[in-house]
Amino acid sequence: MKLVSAATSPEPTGGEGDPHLLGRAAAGDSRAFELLVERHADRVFGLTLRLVGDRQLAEEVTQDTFLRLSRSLETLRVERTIAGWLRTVAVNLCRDAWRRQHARPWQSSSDDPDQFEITDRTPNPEQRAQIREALGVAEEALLMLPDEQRLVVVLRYVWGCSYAEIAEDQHCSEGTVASRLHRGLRAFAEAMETKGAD
Amino acid sequence: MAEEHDIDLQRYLDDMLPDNERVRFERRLEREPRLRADFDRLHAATAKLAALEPRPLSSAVTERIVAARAANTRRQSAGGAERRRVAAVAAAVVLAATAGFFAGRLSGGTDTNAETSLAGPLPSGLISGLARDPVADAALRTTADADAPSFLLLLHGPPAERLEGLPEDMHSWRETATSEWARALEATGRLVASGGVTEGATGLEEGETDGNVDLADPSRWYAEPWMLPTQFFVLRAKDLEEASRLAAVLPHTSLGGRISLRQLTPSTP
Repeated sequence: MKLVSAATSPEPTGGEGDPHLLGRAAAGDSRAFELLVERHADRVFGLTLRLVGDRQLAEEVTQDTFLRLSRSLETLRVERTIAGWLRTVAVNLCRDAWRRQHARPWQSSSDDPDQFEITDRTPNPEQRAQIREALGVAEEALLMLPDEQRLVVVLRYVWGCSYAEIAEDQHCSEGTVASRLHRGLRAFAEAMETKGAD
Repeated sequence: MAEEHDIDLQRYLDDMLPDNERVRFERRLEREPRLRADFDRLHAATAKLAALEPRPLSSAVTERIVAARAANTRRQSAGGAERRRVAAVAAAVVLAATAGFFAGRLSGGTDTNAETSLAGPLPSGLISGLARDPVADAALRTTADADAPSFLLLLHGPPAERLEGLPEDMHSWRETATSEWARALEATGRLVASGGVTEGATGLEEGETDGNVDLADPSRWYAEPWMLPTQFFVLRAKDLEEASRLAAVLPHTSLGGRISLRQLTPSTP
């Protein structure tokens, strides 16, 4: 019954453990940091891509997640797993991205912080078509779900979170998680049917 | 009832039912064709999700991340010697101020130094975010001009739900980074004042009748209640740009909070 998603690599095992690599990276060993990135980057990217639905934005969020890890190495105390820490940061950054997309569909078109040229960044139909083309039908159907509903579904079926982990992240009971998952899964099934997928 | 059915179905799909409930649910699946159809539909949906193709991160992005880390580390180590020098100067200033304070006490002088900031040495670790901005980094390693303008920096938020969702280590990272930032400001004579802003707030606004002033809850002046200021700093900087770059070092905005900055101009009553 249990299905394991291939969409993101499972949490890596084997080799030098994450806590050890973290310790080495905090002590300035750049190779250790590189190994942490190699080990977790695809998984974080798989998560962010399904949440924001835009490859470039997902790359930016993934990069920002690891740069935050880099800046936090000296003060970081990972009570859970490094993957859990990265997931929390990545999800928060995705929420920021959603907020920007919804509240302000424009932003500076320049990297120069002094320039505040207002440009409409809402994808036009052609861009939207390109985004869709780059994604599979199921990913496209996922993007039809409301953000928070998509988040629960992706955390469970793409990242592979347990009910307990989702409940902790969302500050709710496992029963509520089941209920939210059920609504999300039904919405996903309907979206797939709308798209005429098998 | 329908909701219980949904939750049982969901928990069965996710292999979360205890053995006895699972057996009971499987019997229902055999007996109830509609439930079976519902299960098949959702099971197919989970299979689609499980079959999503992996989306590897481009190696160019991975290389960018590693390169950015390496650049930060280089800047950090180049700045380390200078920071230690500033720390020594700051410690000397503190010692001198403390000595002056005690000398004043012994000689019966007034307690003018009682509010002197006892700035400790700068933290040996990286001040969070500094390596990102050479302007802020340089500002925090030079003593502010005594006649440099002052700026009022207000922290708004962050939204409670963002803080509630954070693991403990990120809370401590946020607190440590903010406190290190304030200590660095203090050590370079840039911190004029700082503090929290209490939650309860009263606002005044024009009343409905001419000449009246009404009391109001100022949180409704903001788009969302969490946007009320929660902390303030008065700092010295060369100009608004330098003050902005210093403010940008704070982890506040990365947690969904906002920062506003205004130059203060002296005035006489």
